[in-house]
Amino acid sequence: MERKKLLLAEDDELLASLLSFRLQKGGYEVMHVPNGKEVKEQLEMYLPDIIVSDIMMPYFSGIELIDYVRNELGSSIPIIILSSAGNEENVLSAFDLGANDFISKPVSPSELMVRVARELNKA
Amino acid sequence: MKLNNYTYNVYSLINAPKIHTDLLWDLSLLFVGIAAVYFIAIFLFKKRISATSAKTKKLKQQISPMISEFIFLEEDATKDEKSSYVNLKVEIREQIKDVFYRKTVTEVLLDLRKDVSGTAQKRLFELFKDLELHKVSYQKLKSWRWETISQGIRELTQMEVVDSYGFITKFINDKRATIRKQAEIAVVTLRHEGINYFLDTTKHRISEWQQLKLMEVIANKDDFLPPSFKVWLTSKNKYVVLFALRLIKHYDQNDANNSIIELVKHKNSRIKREAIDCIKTFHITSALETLKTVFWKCSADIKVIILDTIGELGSSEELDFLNLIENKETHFSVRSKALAAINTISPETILPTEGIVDTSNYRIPEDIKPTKKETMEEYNSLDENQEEIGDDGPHDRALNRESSSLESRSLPTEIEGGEETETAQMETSEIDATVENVSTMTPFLKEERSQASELDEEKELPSTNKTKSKNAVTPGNNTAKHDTKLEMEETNFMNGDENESKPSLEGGTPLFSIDFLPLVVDCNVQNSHGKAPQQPNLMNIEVFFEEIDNGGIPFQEKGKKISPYRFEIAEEDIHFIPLVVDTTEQQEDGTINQEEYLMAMNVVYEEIPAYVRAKEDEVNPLELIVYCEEIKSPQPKKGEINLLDLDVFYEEIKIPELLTPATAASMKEIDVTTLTVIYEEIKGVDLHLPSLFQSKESINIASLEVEFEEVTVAEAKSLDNMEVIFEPVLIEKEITEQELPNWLLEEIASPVTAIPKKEEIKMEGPEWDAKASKMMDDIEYYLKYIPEPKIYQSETAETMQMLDDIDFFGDEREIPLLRELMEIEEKEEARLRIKNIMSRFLGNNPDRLADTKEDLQVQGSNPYSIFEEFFRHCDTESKLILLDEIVAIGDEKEVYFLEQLLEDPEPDIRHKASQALAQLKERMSVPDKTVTRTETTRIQSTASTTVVEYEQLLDEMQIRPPKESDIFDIGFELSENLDDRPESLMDEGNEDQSDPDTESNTSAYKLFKKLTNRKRPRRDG
Repeated sequence: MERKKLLLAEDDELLASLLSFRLQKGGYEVMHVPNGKEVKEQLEMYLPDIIVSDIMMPYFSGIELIDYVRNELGSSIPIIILSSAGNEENVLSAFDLGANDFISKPVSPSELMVRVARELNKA
Repeated sequence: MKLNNYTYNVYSLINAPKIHTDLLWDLSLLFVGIAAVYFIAIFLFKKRISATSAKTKKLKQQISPMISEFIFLEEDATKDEKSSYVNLKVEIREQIKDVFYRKTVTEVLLDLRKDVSGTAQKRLFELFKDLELHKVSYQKLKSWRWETISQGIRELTQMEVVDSYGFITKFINDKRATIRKQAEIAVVTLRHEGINYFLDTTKHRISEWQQLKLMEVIANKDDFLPPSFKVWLTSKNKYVVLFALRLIKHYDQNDANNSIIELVKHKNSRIKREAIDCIKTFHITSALETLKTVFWKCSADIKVIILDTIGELGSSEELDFLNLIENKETHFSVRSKALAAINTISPETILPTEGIVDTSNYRIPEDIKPTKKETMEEYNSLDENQEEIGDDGPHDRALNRESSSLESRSLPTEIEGGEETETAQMETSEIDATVENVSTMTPFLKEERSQASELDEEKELPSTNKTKSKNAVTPGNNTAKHDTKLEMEETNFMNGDENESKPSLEGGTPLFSIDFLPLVVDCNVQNSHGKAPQQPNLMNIEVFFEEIDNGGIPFQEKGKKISPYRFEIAEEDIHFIPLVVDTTEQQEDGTINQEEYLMAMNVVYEEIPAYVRAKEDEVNPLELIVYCEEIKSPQPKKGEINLLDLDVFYEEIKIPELLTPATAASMKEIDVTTLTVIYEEIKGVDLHLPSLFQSKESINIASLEVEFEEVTVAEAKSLDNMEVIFEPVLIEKEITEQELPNWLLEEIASPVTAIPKKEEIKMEGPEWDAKASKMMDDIEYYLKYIPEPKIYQSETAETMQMLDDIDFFGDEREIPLLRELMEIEEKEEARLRIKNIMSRFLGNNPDRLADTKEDLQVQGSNPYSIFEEFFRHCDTESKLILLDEIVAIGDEKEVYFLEQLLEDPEPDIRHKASQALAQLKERMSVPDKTVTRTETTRIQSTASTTVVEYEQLLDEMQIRPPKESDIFDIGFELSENLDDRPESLMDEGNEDQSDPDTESNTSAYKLFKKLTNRKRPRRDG
């Protein structure tokens, strides 16, 4: 069975490592990128099945990433947003631009797994 | 020349010190060296920090997957996964011995703890403990450096090491604020009861930020059940009180109203403010009086809050207080808040007064044709008005100055300023509007008017009537100075025709105003100067009226004054006003319906004080007369019952023995007004009620017309006059006729009529026999379970009673006594009872229950040491101390106890006991116990033998021994004293014998006496 490709855009190395480990263990092919600039480069090369992105990232924020994916690439791949609690405005903006789901930090890796699976099933 | 030489001679005032050039070089080199060292040190430190950072980052990258492995290891993991997990754990444990590694792991765990939640977070906590990193944190708590301690507390808190709670509580009152604050958060975080401990023990200030953080911690705690924070309202620490108030408000704990009210009197304004806030939040209306009391001594800010609260909670009773504040208070905000509170309690009581123009005398502009003289007078009156307004403050004085300058220039509209200025502008505009319509307006006035219209674009409806008016809604005396007086010359506005306007005017007061008519302005009309469009002349407006027939109003009602607010006016005066009449409500015959008539009735309301009303409520319903004739209710339909037509019959109920004049009077005072008949509950009867009651759910009897008949109260009757129904009974003793009262004799003489004969039921036949036999069987069955009574002789009964007492109050210490009793007791019942008691006391050691006399002699002689009891309930250290005490104060009883202790499981106790035993024996010179017992038995037997022989010898020689003397019997003085008690005490003693305790004491005493008599050797022998 082909493993689903997941792009994890998270600037926190430790958290990214933890989530990558969990997602890989869950059967996904995870590609971690630490900033928005690299995300853009990666997306130009290949399109994953799902994107999990932090909102606050250097160079290229999660909001801009959604805008780029939806409007410039014209893709409808599921995007899940990670954001710290109380960042309501950004979350609403993300949903306006076409984010599919949102998880607040601190993140429960198990919850992330469930949400990723759900979004992929929808798609 | 000499002079010149002197002239050019220079005297240096400052002499530079002569420093050797080499020294200067040396110093320069030194500073260069220091600078070089400084820069090199910075470079090295920076490099070191960078290296450390890089190393840490690299290490974190290594550690991170390891920790992920730990966190996400599942129970159903494969064998390889589990083995790798074990290997990892071993590896990480080895590496963690390195300080840098350990530090990095701790950092990673703390970082991840912030980013993850749920099960992953719990695993992190477990891992922290598994790696024993919490012990490192404990070590940090012992440091003398505040930052290290604080870090340790933070690590333990974030990793939720609950066991550290006890260690951290020590820092709650630390003198270093950083440690203290960290400890406070830790204590509250780690345990639910941490907040209680913190509030109980903290002695220091709790900053606002700290309070917020603590509240955040509490709010984020799972399953947190907030304690009742009212208990800390009495704390000595005012910050605790403040925090408790905030928590009470946060958790809506409204069970501390009295304490909160009391805190309003607190000298600390923040506590006071918070208490008032609580009062407002919880709507504690009982606090209003306290709020009013403390109001006058508070600061302006608190006063505003109090007024806000009173406005929120208060009723009309607080209006007087608020009016008083409005009059007495000097602070603007407080006065303003008082007015706001009045309006909150009673809406629209106080209307805006500032900057309000009196519009009651406004007239239609085109009707006014003032002369130049009149216009000037109007301006003068305006100036006067401005002067009046100007009394209010500095702005007004400025206004006055402006006004006077305007006056000097004859330009009355150049006014600038605050609110008062706006008023003046509005009034100026008002007059300008009037002036605009005057055809004979002078050019200079027109010019000024246009200037004024530039100042204020809002055009007021002009007024030309010269009247004096006051704002009637001013709340107090001081507001009177805001009254606006506007005097204007009364002008005929109906084309200057005075005669035509007369019917509509009365005493200079307009009877009606037509300013409700819409003002239509033609925007195309421009004034002669080509400026803003002017107010149009209403005379030029074409108005179309539609006349509506008013035939609905009966002729006789026309012109009749039916309301004080209605104005008397001829019909032709208002024929141009469109009348809108709802024809559907008009009756066909042209008469006014009853409802309208009632609405038009003049009703005079008189305010009745509360105490008068209260008295009226107490009016005897017998005196109430309600006239309902004026309310014409339709006739009831057939089959319906009109409550007004109901006949009520009252029957006098006579209660002869109770009916004294006083009780009769009280019966008369029954308040019928409180009775309410709920007619919905009367089922099956179709009630026809008057329309007056249709909207009510119940009818008050007081509102009904009730005819009462005077009821005469019967006086108490004598026994002779009472009707008595009696039943004849047979009395054994024959009573003579003289002994009986008259009324009884009469009744005896008269035939018995009232009592019916009781019907006798005959219980005969086989059916009843079967029932009877069954009943007897049942009785016998139950009788089996009733124990048979045991009848003892008096002495045995006393013994049994004493044994019951021992059984009830005693324990295994009574065993020796019981054994002695067993030895002397001869009655089988008593022996059996003793045996049972002993077996109960020796429940766990039935083997110790000895039946034989020999056993009794051996076991019964084991003395009881008081130290046994202490030893059961103390720790080893205390036991060792007690052993020392035993050596010091112990006696023979302790020897046996010490011998028992030689078999104690604890070696320390055994060792110490052996030492103590040796010392005690040495002190007491106690020989070996077994020897003692044998010898004692032998001596006792020898003594008893000797006594018997001695008695026999005396009998043979016929020598009578002297009477028993109690001179040497010290042990029995108590018995003699008891017997010799005074009579009064003896009586008390007799009374007390009913008390079981006393009985038991007495029986115990007798038993004691019995035993001692037996054991005591006869002295006379």
